Amino acid sequence: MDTAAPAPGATPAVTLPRRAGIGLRHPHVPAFLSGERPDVAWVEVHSETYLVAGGPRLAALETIRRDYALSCHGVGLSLGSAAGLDANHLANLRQLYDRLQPDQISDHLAWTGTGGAYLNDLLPLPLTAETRDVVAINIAHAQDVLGRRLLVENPSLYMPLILPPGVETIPEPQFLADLVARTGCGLLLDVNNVVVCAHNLGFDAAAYLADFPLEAVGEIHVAGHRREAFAPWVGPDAGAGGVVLIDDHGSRVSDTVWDLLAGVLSRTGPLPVLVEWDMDVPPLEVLLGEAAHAQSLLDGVAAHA
Amino acid sequence: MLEAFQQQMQRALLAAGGGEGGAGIDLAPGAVAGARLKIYRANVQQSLAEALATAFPVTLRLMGVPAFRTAALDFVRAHPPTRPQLAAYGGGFPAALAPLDTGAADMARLEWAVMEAYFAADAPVLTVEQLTAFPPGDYARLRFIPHPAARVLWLGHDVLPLWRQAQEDETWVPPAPDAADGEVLVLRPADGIVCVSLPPGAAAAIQSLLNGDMLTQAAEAGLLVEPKLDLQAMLHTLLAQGALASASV
Repeated sequence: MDTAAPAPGATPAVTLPRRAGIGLRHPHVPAFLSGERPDVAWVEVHSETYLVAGGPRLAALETIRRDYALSCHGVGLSLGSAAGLDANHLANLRQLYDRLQPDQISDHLAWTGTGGAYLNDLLPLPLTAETRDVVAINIAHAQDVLGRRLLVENPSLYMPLILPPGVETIPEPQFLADLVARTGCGLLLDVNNVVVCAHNLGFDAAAYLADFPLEAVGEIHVAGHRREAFAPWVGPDAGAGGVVLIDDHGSRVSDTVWDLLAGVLSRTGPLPVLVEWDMDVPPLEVLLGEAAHAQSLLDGVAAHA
Repeated sequence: MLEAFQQQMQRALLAAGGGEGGAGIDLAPGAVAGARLKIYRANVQQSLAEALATAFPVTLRLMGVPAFRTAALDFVRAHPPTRPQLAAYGGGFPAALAPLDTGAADMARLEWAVMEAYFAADAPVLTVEQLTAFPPGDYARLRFIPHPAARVLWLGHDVLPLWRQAQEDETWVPPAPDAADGEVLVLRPADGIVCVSLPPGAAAAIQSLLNGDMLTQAAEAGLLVEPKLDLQAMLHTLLAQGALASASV
């Protein structure tokens, strides 16, 4: 009998420090290599950024990894691909993960291209029973080849998908819980993505989080987003879509996101919390300040535990 | 349904112009979906064009933002990445520039060689001591394993001086390069990139060595191009800049 997958509902191990971490970005790498040991418990990188044969970028990460717990966050598995996963990409990731020995790996509930293309964006999925079957098989495939348990992140969404009559939409928290039950994967809860989706698709963020299977969460993301009343870079009529929140990871974490994070942590106790900042990357001090704020929330719930 | 949806949406995301709204995506009908689809289209096309701008920064300055942007977006739509590694995206871009601007295409070829060299595999470097350990009688039959970063380029424009000055001054706008044949060796000794301007004939000889030919064959290939080629100086350059990983007979 196959006992590889944990029983449905089993509490997954949290493998990163239950403290605040930051996304490691190129402008900050010299500070991490300088010996001054920036004060943060762990760092996360985008796996695909380090899928290179060699050279200084990979060497720098190997050096930093000796001093910090590491999370490798993928953006290219395309777990929602109807055509299945790219075997070459999986093999490359396996090699990278064997080399870096990350404390945790993750990717998204999304697709990134079809027919061999990679579109460099996390694209929306219709949350149907068919999609659930596809994603569950892809997660199992990935976990098998990578030899590691995967955390799956809730995506940020901009466009509502309208299903044909008779095809039922599975609410996202239920969809994710089903994936956990079927594959033994864990979840990465991105609180900013919840706020972005709640606004863009018109649902209540608190209600979503009330339904979220928090017992499966191994990591939390927070980040900044921006408001676009109308987007000149996509044409004047984009305003027909109304005010849209864009998940650009380009600013401080909003108060709404901090408040929701505090609410989640009061239910879960301390978890690894990552501050992501990818666009207009600020000085390291600013990012560490955001991480310190996350840490203060973690310390608050730890004190009450 | 999922597969058809993904094919439809990918077509819409790679479409040119302002886009046709959600037309053609069964699951995204109506004006709102059409407007929102443009967010995804912009994310996809602009982020990939930005990846090209990151890989070809001097080419961008040479062409100017509007011309580069147009060329990059055309390339992105016609040739999206085939794997999720942006560091490996753009190898076909120089050839796509050639019909538009041959000087910019040569600059792009140089920048792509630099990119490839930067991310090439690590390898030990062949030392003078290791080479002189071979008996002199073996020299003619020596074959080399090149360092994975080493690349030889035959360029039709004098782009290397412009590229060098652009590294020194990040705001400098290079002029159009002069049409002139030039041969360049791109290497990654230690952590940095080095571009060496080669004397006539050296490119042919070095490429022959990188292909795994014997030293005598490489010498012949070089001397065929330039009878006065200084083979000893060439070999010295290769050793000094870490172009070779190992040697065997």
